[in-house]
Amino acid sequence: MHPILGDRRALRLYLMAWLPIVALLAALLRLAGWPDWPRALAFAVPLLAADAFLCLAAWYPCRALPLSEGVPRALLAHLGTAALVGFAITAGGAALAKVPILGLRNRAGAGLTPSQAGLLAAVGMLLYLLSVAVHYLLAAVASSREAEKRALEAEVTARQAQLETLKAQVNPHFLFNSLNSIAALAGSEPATARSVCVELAGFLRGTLGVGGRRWHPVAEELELVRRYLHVEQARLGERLRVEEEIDAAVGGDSMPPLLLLPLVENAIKHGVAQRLDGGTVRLIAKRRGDALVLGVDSPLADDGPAKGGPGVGLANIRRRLRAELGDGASLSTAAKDGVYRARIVLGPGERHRDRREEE
Amino acid sequence: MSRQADPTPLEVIIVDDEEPARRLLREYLNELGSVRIVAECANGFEAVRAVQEHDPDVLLLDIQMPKLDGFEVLELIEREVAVVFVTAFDEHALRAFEVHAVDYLLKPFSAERLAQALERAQARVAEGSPPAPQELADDARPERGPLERLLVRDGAEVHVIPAEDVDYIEADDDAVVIHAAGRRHRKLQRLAELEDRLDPERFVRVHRSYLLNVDRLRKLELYAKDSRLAILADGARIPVSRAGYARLRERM
Repeated sequence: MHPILGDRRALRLYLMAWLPIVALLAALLRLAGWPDWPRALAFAVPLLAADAFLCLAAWYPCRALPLSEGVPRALLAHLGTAALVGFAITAGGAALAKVPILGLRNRAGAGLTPSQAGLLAAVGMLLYLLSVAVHYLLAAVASSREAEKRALEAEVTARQAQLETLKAQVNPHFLFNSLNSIAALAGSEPATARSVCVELAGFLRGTLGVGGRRWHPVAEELELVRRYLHVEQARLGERLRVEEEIDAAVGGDSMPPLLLLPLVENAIKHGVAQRLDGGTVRLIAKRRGDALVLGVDSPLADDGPAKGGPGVGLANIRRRLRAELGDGASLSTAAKDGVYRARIVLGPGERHRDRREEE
Repeated sequence: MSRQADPTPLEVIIVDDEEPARRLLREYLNELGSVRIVAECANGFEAVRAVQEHDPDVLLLDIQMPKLDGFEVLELIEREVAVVFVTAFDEHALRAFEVHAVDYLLKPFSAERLAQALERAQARVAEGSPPAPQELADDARPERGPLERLLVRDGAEVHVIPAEDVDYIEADDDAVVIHAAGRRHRKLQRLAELEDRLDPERFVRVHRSYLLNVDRLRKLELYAKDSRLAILADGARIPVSRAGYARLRERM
């Protein structure tokens, strides 16, 4: 059903918009030889009231024939319908003209003269075509509003994903454990306690700082990861050993922030911390051909990857890579010879996407 | 320091895989005076051994540890001991603790908070009513999928048996005997409890006293009216009751 028919207020407004048209038709009728104003109005009101509803019917063909799917076809259909409406109005007018109370008499006897009939047909067609135009206009406005809304929703979803990622970065378990390490060191090794405090603060500032940025330099990511490892070192002591395999040339490359960090967190949570004697976390950042490779090697847990495993964090990274870079990036993992290897490869197109975008 | 004169200091074992965390507990406890640290353990195995050896009053127990976590340690302890969990952050565990009124310390905590927890633990010991460690583990452990491995203690030695290595489990009074890879392990636990926690897709209660790993079943033999024998891959034979047979058929 037409939306106007379901809304009383809209219907009232719509019918009021027809009042000037009634006046106009009455005036035209007077010009075409109608005897007086009261009778012209008495003729125009019922006829146009019927036409007002006929014109609403344009809603259906307008929906069925969107202009985007071919203008000529739609135009032809609407012209045909308009002719039918014009004919219906003329026929209605002719019937109405015979009503005695209207007292319409002219040279043709009771009824319409040909020029009056022509006038009614033309008015009927034009009003219908006008209604078609208005319906198309309203549909265009509605669809552009819809598109705007969708774009806004997409934006909100993207923001949400980013926030979730950031929230996950500052892992409460890490935070409370670090605070506990600082409390412990404060008694016997105050200097170490201070340096852990400084690194923790730097880490937090860094993770909060990347909020809202789509890209940041690899060097900054590595800095964050090193601070994180420094803090974890206080907690795990000799159980955590760190090695780096970093090509200095990649420091200036760009990457989406906080991709390497979750890999390092996994390496500790599911690897080093699950082993009685700990193990080595190896950070990797280098070029392979034109691509940038970021990765982490870590020891497998003593009992293999049993308890829980790093599934959630990895799925999250994959989702981000897909959302932000499409096919231009990938994450792969493999467990072999007691070592768990995780690698992110950013294609050459991505690596050079520099910070111009930001600024 | 009148408390130092206390003739029977509270005997405490510290269990935490992180050195700084142990150090903090040690410092706090030393200041308390009426406490004696009888052992410090860096992992669950050491903890199980130390508890058997020292029979402490109180166990300060970290939850997240490699190999054996805090709950698994409790599962292997057969002595009466007041347990205080020590953890940084574990939503699930905390909820379980709240529900079962288990005492716990959230890292980082103050010396006062530790003293308070110890006082409560001491009261429980004095009343002679600390809950049995195994029950505590069952109550406070957050629900997590079926058991993937069984833990058995043999003296101070802890054996970890992957669930898929188990052939069958036999009830024996208030204990069970686990048959796995040609060896028998006895454990103080009820068969029904194991049945609840093991993967029901794999383990079927074929008899009042037997829980069978269906992967090991080679064939069934009619033995008498309404009773059958299950012949396992290694040739072992275990009885199958009528109800057990129905459960087996349902699984097959």
